Amino acid sequence: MPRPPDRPARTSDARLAVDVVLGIVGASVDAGLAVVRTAAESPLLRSAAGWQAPFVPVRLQPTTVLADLARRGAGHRARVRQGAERLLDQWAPVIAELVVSRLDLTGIVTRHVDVDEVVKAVDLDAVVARIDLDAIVQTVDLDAAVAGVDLNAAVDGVDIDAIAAKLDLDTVIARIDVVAMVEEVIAAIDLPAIIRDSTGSMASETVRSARMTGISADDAISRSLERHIFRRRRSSIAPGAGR
Amino acid sequence: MTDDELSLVPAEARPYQGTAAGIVTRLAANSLDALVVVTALVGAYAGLVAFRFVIAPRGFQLPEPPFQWFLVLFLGFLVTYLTAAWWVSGRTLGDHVMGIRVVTGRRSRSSLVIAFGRALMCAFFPIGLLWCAVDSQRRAAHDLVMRTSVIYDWLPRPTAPRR
Repeated sequence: MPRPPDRPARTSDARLAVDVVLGIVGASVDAGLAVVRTAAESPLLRSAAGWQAPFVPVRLQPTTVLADLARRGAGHRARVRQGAERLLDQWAPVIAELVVSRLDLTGIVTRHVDVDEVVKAVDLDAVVARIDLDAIVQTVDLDAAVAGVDLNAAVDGVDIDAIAAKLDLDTVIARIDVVAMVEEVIAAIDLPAIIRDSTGSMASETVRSARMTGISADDAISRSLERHIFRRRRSSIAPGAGR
Repeated sequence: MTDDELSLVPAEARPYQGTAAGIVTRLAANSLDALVVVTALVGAYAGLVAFRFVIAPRGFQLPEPPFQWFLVLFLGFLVTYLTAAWWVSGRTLGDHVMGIRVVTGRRSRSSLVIAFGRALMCAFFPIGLLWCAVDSQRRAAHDLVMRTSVIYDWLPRPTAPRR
């Protein structure tokens, strides 16, 4: 069953005139394109392009004329292209801004884009691996950040008693080597010297001095005898060694 | 922490604690021991004189024993004193003053036999002490024979010898 033609809508005269003009222009363009396409595909024209009549000057030969026309056309094409690029560079941002400002991009993305799928496709591990966290941390002024924190207020909000009540201090103390710690403290403050100074007498100091003198004399005699014995051994070995 | 780090030993003497004692210290200790024995001998002689004076004051005469008797008594006192001191505590009074102690191997004290043998050698061959001056381990002749050694030990209780 044939489809009935669409009824023309009621429009104003000016709009009707514009439509008519556009229809004529479109038909003309279509006719021109058909003629050009037919001529370009015509074997007659293609063979005529290769004519080189001997009685025609070179500058009027078809090939020369066509080459000249092609060169001019290429120049026009380049100029038109440059002009179009300039227009696009000048007007595209303005037009895009006007278009984007009239669009609800957030709503469009929310409605039409599955953000979860997009995030799943992103290799976040690789992204994080490329980030130099050390360099970032070094650029952070932690002192300034900490200085801006009211630690007193933060600590006041902490129930230290409750935390301390949860601690098993017996276990902590059991892990501490109290004896070793006390020994280190006593060694550091030289408690024996303090005791000696507080309770020592002239006799103990005399005995101590006598003992240290004896030790020093022992060392001195030992060193002296060792040097003497070694010298004798060297002197007794040297003649034999020289032979 | 080792014992010597927390001991009553002064810091300057701690490096020597438990090491072999040298000739000067041992000579000084032996001299003090000899002085102790001589003092005991003189005391015994004074006691004997006082006893004889109390028994027979009219016919009292100062006894003049021959030198041999004095020498024998000195050696007897010395051997007894050294044996008892080394057996009981490992140190004589002279050793205590000079901060040294006689030890046997890894044991802190000598047995009675070793103490007695060492005392005999010290009393009858005192010159053997000089060998500790040239011995690499500072052992005297009686130390070599009785397998003992003398170490610096400033502590009241015995300290294990160090190599």
